[in-house]
Amino acid sequence: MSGLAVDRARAPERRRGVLSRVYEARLLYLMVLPTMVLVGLFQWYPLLSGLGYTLYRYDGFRSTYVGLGNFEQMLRDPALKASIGNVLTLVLARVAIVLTVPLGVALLIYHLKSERWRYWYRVGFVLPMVVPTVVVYLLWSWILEYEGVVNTLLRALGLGGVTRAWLGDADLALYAMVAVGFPWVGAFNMLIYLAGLQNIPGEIQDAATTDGAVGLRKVWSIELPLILGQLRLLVILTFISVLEGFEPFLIMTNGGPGTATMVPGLRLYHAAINDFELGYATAIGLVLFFALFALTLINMRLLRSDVHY
Amino acid sequence: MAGRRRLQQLGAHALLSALLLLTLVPFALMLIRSFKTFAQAMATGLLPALPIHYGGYLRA
Repeated sequence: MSGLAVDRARAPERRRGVLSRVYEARLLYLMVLPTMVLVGLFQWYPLLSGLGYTLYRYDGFRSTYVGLGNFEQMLRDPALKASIGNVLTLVLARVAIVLTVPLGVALLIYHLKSERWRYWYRVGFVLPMVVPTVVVYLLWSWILEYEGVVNTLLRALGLGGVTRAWLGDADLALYAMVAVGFPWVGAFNMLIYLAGLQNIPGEIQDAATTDGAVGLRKVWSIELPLILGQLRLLVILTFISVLEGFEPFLIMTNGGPGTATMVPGLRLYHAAINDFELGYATAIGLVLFFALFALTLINMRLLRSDVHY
Repeated sequence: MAGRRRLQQLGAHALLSALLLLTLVPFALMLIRSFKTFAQAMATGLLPALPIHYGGYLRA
C-alpha cells in the first residue's frame, strides 16, 4: 500500500480520534461554551458585520450601497491625509521615547544596591498611574494653555517673549502634544523593562562580571539583548496605541488648530459621531487595522529575539 | 573601586529623584489647585493660597 493510501485509510481513524477526545472532554467544552458564545456575539460579530458596512453609506438609519466609495473618499479627505503625516511624527517620537526614558529608569532602578530604595522608586513612578487619564489630559491642557504652568515659568525666568498658547499654535501644537507626559517615564513601560531585567539569571550576571563586563558594557552586551522581547512588545504596543489612540487629541485640541493635531483615530471618531458617516468611519477603521497588522508583522521580523537562556 | 561605585549609586539616586520629582509635579499642581477657588488660582498662579478652599471636594 502506498504512503498516500495509508494516510487516507488512517484519516477517518484520526477524525474519530479527535471527536472521541472532544466527547471525553465534553464537560470542559460545555464550560467554555458560554464564554465563546459571548465573545462571538459581542466581539467577533460586530467586527465582521463592520466589514460589510465599509461598502455602504450608512448614517445609522439608512444604508446605500457605494462599493469602494468609502475607500475612494479616504483618498480625497484632506483631514485624513494630514492625520497620516501627524501620526508618523507621533510614532517616531513615541517609539524614541519608549526606547529611552523608561528603559533608562528601569536600568537605574535595577542597578540600585538598596532593595528598599528600589521599592520606593517603583512606588513613586507607579503612583501617577492611579490618576484617570482624562484628568491627566485636562491637567496638561492647563499646563500648556496661555496662562498655564509652562508660560508662568517662562515669564518667571524672564523669557516672556517666547510664551504662546502652545496648543493653539498650528506649527507647535503637535510637538506640544508630544511633550504631554514629560518626563515620559511611563510606569507601565518601566515595569515591563524592570520585570525583564529582574528575570535575567544571576549566573549570567556573575559570569559577565567575571569576564570583566561592567557598567555600560554590561548593559549593552548582556542586559539589552536579554530584554529584547520586552523591547519588541513595547514597540508594538506603542505603534498600536499611537495609531489607534485619539483620546488626548479629542480632549486637548479636538484635532486643531485646523488639522495640526488630527490623527486617524480622531478622524474616524469625527466621521462616526459628528458626521454620522458610519460606513466611512468603518472603512477608516479597517484600513487602520490592516496598517497595524502589517506594522506589527514587520516589527516582529525586525526585532526577532534569538536570545535564549 | 568602592568609591567609584558609591559615586555611581549617588548619581543614580540624583537622576531618579529628579525624574520622580518631574513626574509628580503635575499631580502636586493638581492637588494645590483643588484647594483654591478660581479667583485664588488666578491671583496666586502655581503657589498654594489661604484660606484653604474645600468647596470642590464637598461638591464632589
